[in-house]
Amino acid sequence: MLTREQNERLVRTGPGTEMGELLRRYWIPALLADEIPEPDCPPVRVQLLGQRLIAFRDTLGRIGLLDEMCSHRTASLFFGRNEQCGLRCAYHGWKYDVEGNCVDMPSEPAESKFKEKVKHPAYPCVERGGVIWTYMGPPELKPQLPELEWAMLDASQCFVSKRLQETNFLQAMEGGIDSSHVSFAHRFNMDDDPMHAGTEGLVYLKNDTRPKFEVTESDGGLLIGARRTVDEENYYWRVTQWIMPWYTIIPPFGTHNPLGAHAWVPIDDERCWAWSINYHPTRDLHDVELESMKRGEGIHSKNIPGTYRPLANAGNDYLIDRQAQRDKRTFSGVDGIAAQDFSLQESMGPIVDRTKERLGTSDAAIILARRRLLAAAETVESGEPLPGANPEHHRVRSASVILPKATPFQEGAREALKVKPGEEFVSI
Amino acid sequence: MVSWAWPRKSYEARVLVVPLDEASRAALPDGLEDGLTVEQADMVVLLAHDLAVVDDSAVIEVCDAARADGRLIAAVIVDAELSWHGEAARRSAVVIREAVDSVVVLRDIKLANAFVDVLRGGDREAAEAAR
Repeated sequence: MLTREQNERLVRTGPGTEMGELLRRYWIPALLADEIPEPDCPPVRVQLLGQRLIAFRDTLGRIGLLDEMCSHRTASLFFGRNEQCGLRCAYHGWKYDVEGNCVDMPSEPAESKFKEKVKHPAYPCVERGGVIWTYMGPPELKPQLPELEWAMLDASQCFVSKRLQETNFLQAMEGGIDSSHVSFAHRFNMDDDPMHAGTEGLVYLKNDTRPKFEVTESDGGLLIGARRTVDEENYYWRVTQWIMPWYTIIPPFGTHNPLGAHAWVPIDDERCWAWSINYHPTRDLHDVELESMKRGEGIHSKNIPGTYRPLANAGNDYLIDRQAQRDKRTFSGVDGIAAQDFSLQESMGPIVDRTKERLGTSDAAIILARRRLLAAAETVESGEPLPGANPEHHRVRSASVILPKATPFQEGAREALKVKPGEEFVSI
Repeated sequence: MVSWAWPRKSYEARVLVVPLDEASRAALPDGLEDGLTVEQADMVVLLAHDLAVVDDSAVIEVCDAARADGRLIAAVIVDAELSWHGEAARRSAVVIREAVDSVVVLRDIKLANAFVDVLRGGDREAAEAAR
């Protein structure tokens, strides 16, 4: 639990807020690359950390992310014309390039140089891993580009989706590091999910349904180990990575299945983008896997066509099926791993009141993640390097391993937890 | 419509922190309840800096008693390298792992104290005001 003040510090992410300033010091997954698929395609609205923005791809393929409201009369650039290396406001014709330079001001005399004085707010962008990333912090503190493994692979090895979640980003992210919910919320889905099927790990999971948790700091965030007894000498460990400020990597089942990862990025204080990623470091994703992911199965969601809003949502009680709940086809009655998560997280309200919760020993990862975020926010003004901003902190993997009982899991799995480009990951 | 302002308060747990070595005895968090016993506590947190000097039989005794009374049990290990070293430490690590519900390994005691504080819960506003 937190004090009201601590909760406010953690959940407010707009400009000038403590957490907002922290999050702006990281590269931010802003939109899917295929939302602006080709030069001069229609611009799209993007909202991040409470700021309304507009994204476009110019004639040369360069990506622009501008403040949505024109510098002139603050009309929305969503209605703009994306033409000849710039986005032109439909109201009076002011035109901006991807860097926010006003390159044409036809509402003023042709000889006027006033356009040279106007600099529209613009944020640098880079395309990597099927995602357009932006940086919204002080230019002089811009970190190196993100190097999460999935973002560095060929497009054929990775599938990325996003969905709208109607909660604060922290609430969603806490679900990702709350390993103990898996044994309940997803209890009856492990057999059906193709990402779990046919693995030795699943046998250990079923044999020991009460895992014990161990959490330790990592350079970039936390390592969360869930252990189950294998025999007198050994534990089976499933190790989740939390990388500050909002990434997780899910422990794998076998090496034949792709890995899974998430990111939770604030749209505003009451909504976030839940990014879900499947990837395999050593092979292309199979057609059957891709079809399943595109259908919104596994960690992805079934969305209303043409939108990123889930079909199962608060308006229809997440399509709860009480018969499926009674029949033990689903634990909560909600279908799909993603919907099982967000239905419960959204049920807590858009911003959970953490002064009223009552955490226990199995919530250690959540407790420590909050503390690490608050601690980082306190150092942000100093300009010091932040955990999770260094690409070294991104070059990590999750793992599932068997280790002797006396071994610190972070040591025993040290090599397994590092990215080794082109090499198989370690998973039971 | 759900009201987010109902007068609900978090239960304040009675947390017994058991230092397992000298360094931990010297670094106990502030605000702990004096004289609290395992039988009275809701949660028992073992605190260790050097696993090599931990008395395994004491760990087993405390945790058995706590378990018998239905207490939650956690262990916090503080080590700058986030690890433990040597045969004695490895033996104690196994004993602790088998005896507790969850283990946290941290670099410094500050985070450990924050962890214990959250486990205590209760009315944080009142606790803050009292400080």
